[in-house]
Amino acid sequence: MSEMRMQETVLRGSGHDWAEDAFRTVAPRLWRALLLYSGSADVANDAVSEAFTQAMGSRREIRDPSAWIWTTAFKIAAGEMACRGDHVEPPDLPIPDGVDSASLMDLLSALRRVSDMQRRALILRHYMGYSNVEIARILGSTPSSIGVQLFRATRRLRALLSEER
Amino acid sequence: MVKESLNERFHEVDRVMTPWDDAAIRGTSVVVSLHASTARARSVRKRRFVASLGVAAAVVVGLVVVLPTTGGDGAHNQAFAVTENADGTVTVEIKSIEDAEGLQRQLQEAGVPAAVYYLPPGKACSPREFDVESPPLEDRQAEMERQRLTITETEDGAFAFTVDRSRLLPGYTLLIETKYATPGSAVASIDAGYISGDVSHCEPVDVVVSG
Repeated sequence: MSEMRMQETVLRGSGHDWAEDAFRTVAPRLWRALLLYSGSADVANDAVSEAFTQAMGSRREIRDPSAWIWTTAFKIAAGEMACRGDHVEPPDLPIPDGVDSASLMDLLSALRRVSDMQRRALILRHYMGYSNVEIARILGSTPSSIGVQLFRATRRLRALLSEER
Repeated sequence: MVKESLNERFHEVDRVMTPWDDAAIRGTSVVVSLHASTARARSVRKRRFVASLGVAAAVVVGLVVVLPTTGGDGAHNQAFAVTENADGTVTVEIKSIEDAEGLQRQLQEAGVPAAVYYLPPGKACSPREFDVESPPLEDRQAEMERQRLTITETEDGAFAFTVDRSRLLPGYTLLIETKYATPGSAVASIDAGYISGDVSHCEPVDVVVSG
C-alpha cells in the first residue's frame, strides 16, 4: 500500500478520532506541501495546526476528510499569505547540514510565480501524487479542467525553472 | 529545458525538517493546540456537557510549538513564567512540559484558580464527571465569550496566553493538561481553558487509541 493510500485510509472516518490519527500520520507531509504552497515555514505551521484544530472542533460530520483537510489548510494558508502581503520572506529552512537547498529554493521561487490554483494543483500532483479526479475533488473543480490547469501550470513551471538556471 | 522529473524536484522538500522531525531529534514534544477537550465532551454522557463546554470556551489559535518535556535547568531555564501585569491580567508562558505543581501553585498565588496536569506519553486524565445543571444555551455562550482565551506562541517558542482575572466566573477553574494522541507519540496536545466543577484530581489512565 502506498504512503498516499495509507493516508487516505487514515483520513477516512469522522469526528475527532480520525483527526488525531490523521494529525500524527499526515501532518508532516501536509506541512511540507504547505511550505511549497506558501514558501513560509510559519504559514505552514499555522495552517496545519489550525486545520486540525478546526477538524477536532467540528461538531458536524466531515464527509470527505481528505478533501476537507486539504481545502481547509490551503484556505488558511492563503489567508495568512494575504495578511502578510509581499512580506513572505524566503524561508529560513531547517535543512540538515551538507544538503544543498538551492534547487528547492528555486522551486519555491518559481511556485510563487504561478497562479494560486495552478500552484495547488501542481503540489497535489507532483508532491502528493493525486490523480486529476482526486485533485478535482479537493479543489472543487472537474477532472478535465484540472487536466488543462496542470498542463499549463507544468509548462509555465518548467519555463520558470529554466530561467532560474 | 528542465530535464529531471518535476516529481523529484518537488520531493526535495522532504529534506526539510518539520517540527516533528525536529522534535524526534531533540527528544522533545510537538505541542499542537487542539480542541481535545471538546472531543472528550462528545464521548461522555450529557451531564458532563456543561463542564466540558468550559474547556471548549478556550479559543485556540492554530499553533505548533516544540516544547521540551525534560531537562529544565533551574532558574536559568524555568519551565514556565507567570507574570502579573499592571492591568490586572496574568500572563502565562509555558516553556517546557514540566513542574506542573509549580505552575499550578504560582497561578493560584496570582489569584487564578488553576489545576495543571502534565502526564507522561500514553497517559491521560480519566474523564471526569460533574454534577452541574445545564444553563440555557445563550448563558453558556455568554460564559464562553466572557472567558475567552487566546493562545499564542512567543518569540522564544513558548506557549502563552493571558488570563483576565476580572472576567473569571465563580466556580470556574483554569485547567491546563496534556493529551497524547497515541502511547509514546511525540505529538501531544496541550489544553488550556476554563472548566466548571471539581478538577482537583486527575486519575491517569492509558490513552485509548481509536481505530
